[in-house]
Amino acid sequence: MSDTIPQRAGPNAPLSPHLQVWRFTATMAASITQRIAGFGNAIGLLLFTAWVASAAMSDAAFAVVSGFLASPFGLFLLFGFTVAFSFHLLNGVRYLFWDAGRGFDKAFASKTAWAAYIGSVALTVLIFFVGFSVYGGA
Amino acid sequence: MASSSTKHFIRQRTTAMIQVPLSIWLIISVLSHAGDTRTEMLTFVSTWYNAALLVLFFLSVPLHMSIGIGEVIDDYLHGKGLKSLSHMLNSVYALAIGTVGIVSVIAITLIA
Repeated sequence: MSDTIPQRAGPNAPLSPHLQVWRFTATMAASITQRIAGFGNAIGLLLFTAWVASAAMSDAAFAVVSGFLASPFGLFLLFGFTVAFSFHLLNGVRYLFWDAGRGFDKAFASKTAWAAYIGSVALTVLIFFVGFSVYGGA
Repeated sequence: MASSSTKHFIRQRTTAMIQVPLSIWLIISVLSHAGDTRTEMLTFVSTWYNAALLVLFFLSVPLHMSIGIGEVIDDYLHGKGLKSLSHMLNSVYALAIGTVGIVSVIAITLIA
C-alpha cells in the first residue's frame, strides 16, 4: 500500500474522487460543501481585508466600506459569508477530530455531517441576532 | 525531509487548529464592534493584543486559503497552462491579502 503513495505531488498524485462515482451521503455532501464554503470564505476575506485597510486609510475610505457593508446588498453578502464561514469552521472541526482518529464510525460521521449543516444555520442566526442587537443598541 | 504533500497536510491542519479559537475571537470582536465609528475601530485594532491576533490571522488564513484552493486546482483543473496560471493567481491573491492586511494593522497601530 505505502509504495503506491508517490513521494511528491507529481502528475500521478492521487486526486479526490469525481462527483459522478459517489453515491449521495451526508458525509460526501459535507466534503463538497466544505470546499465551496472555503472558496466563499476566500472571497469574503476580501471584504474583511478591505474593511481593515479602509480604517487604516482615511475617514472617507472607511465610510465607503462600512456604508457598503451596512447596505441591504452588503448585509446579504455578509449573511452568505457568515453561513460559509460557520459551516467551514464547524465542519473543519469534524476533520480535525478525524485526523486525531476519532469520529470515523459511519453512522456517527453522518450525524456530525448533518450537525455541521444545522449548526452552521444556527450559528448564523445567532451571529445576526447578536449583531443586530449590538448595532441597534449602539 | 517530508514530501511537499506531507508539508501541505501538516500546515493545513496546523493553521486550522490556530484558526478555530482565532475565528471565535474574531466573531465576538466583529460583533461587539458592529457599527463602530472609525475612531472606535482604530482604538480596538491598535490595542497590542488585538493587533497581534489580527497579524496572526493575516499570516495563518492566507496560508490555509492558498493550500486549500491549491488542492481544489490540482483536483479539478487539468490543462497544464490553466493549472499553472491558477496556481500563480492563487499565490498572488494570498500574498496580496496577507500583505495588505498586515500593513493595515501596523499602519493603524502607528496612527491611532
